[in-house]
Amino acid sequence: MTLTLLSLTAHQLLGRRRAILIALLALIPVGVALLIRFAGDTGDGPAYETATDTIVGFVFLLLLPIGALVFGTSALGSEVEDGTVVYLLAHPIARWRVVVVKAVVASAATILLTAPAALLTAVIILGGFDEESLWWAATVATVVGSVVYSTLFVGLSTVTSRALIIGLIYVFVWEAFITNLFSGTRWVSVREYVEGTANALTPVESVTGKLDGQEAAIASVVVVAASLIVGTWFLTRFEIGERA
Amino acid sequence: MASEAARVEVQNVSRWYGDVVAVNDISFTLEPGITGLLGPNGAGKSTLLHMISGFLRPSVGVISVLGATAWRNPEMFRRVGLVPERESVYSFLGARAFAEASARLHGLPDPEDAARRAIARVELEDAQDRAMGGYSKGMRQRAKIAAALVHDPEVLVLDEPFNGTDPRQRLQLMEMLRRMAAEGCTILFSSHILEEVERLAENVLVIVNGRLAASGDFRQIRRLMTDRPHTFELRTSDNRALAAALVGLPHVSAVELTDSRLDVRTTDFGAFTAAIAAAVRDSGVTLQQLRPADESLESVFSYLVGS
Repeated sequence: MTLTLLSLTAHQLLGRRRAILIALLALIPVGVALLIRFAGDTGDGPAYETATDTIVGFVFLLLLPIGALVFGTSALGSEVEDGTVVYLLAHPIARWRVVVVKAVVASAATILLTAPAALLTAVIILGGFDEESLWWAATVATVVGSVVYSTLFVGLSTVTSRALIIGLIYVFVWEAFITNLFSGTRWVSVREYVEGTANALTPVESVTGKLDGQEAAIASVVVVAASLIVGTWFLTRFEIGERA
Repeated sequence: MASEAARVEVQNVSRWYGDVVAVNDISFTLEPGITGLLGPNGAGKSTLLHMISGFLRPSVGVISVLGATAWRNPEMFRRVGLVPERESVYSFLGARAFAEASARLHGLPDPEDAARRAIARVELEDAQDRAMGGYSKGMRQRAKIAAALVHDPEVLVLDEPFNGTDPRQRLQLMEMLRRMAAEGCTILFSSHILEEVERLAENVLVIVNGRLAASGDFRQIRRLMTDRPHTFELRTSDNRALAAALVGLPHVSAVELTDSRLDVRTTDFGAFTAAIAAAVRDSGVTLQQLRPADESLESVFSYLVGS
């Protein structure tokens, strides 16, 4: 039952043209890393600061939220939109299971897209697996971010049909501006969880975070759990729209 | 499998969206057999079917299916099948894979076999492995029905199942539904086409403007529909002369002369159509045109609501 649900979702999510377009997006940080490595002036030794800037700027702030937005909001949202979700829901399947599977597939797709990009970006700029474990911190933080963002957006897509727009506003207005202005809002910014996780895993000084590792981990678990609960609550009460 | 309680029970159910009432205080029960839900587009048929299949919460009232509340009860789909109206399907799957996925989602012990039987029932074997994205409307409709049948449901709900099917497919689907009903399945299907309902349903629910306008045996409803006042539009060589003759007939209730036309209202469709030829002959006029006015299904329905 779960396997069928998994394969249907994966097929829907990855079998589309937009998955290819998004995959091209993952080439941006890698391309930038290659440019820096072979055409830039990084001086002697590992260029930690440049690597951090590239990973944060292109992976944490761009690729990660966009990938999670696309996969997270469409894993369930596109099915709701085109009406095929009814075929799924007209089966004796617990709704929490549907939400969890959708979140797992969306997270996996986002990880597949972003984690290799984070790893490659670090390795290319630093010329290998650095001793300060920046490559490890970047990869793990990206994985954590993929799961939290994707699950959050799957949950959001059960609440509103405008999940994509609201997600965009959340990422590029709330997280990008508001969170910088008021430090209290760091708890409601997935970006801070990602940076906090990375910061906890490497001593590299250019990697900073407003939350420590433990705080980031707790906040991540809370957001994932809350998103699944909210998603289940709304999917249990799913109503077919009157447009039909 | 016969149970004493009704398979589907709808009790004083209404559903509104904001200020708009889509379904207004409807009650009925369904037993095994085929019931047609007939009504013009926008009458509230889909809203009602969605509520019965647990995809809409009634604003008031209770709907129970096989003894349990339909709303928020996914477990009911172990014994209930639903064919939604919307055409979208998993376009990347073939009909067999679609039916098989449905069987797996039901947790059936032998999903391949269940899918094979369902595909055979709707006679879609020839195209079963082609992606549904390339299917015609009628093929998609049949694939959807196959997926809803894999678990041999006791209650089957179909929203406009004959949309897009050609006459041969329609006959075949009707035959299949009749067989299922004979085996004890409770089938509820909606349609805005009188003939479909007439040919298939033993029992009819007529819904207009969200209200149950009539329910029961089809023949009874058919009589209601034909025994209502009818208006005919006539054009003749001498409208006034014919009007004088018609006004004397007992079943003619009104005669109106317009510029070029004679409108006649009758209380008895059959008697009027039998008498009109003689009336024309006897008054010596030439009949150029005779046609019934307001014969649209909507007008029939609104008459039923008014009665």
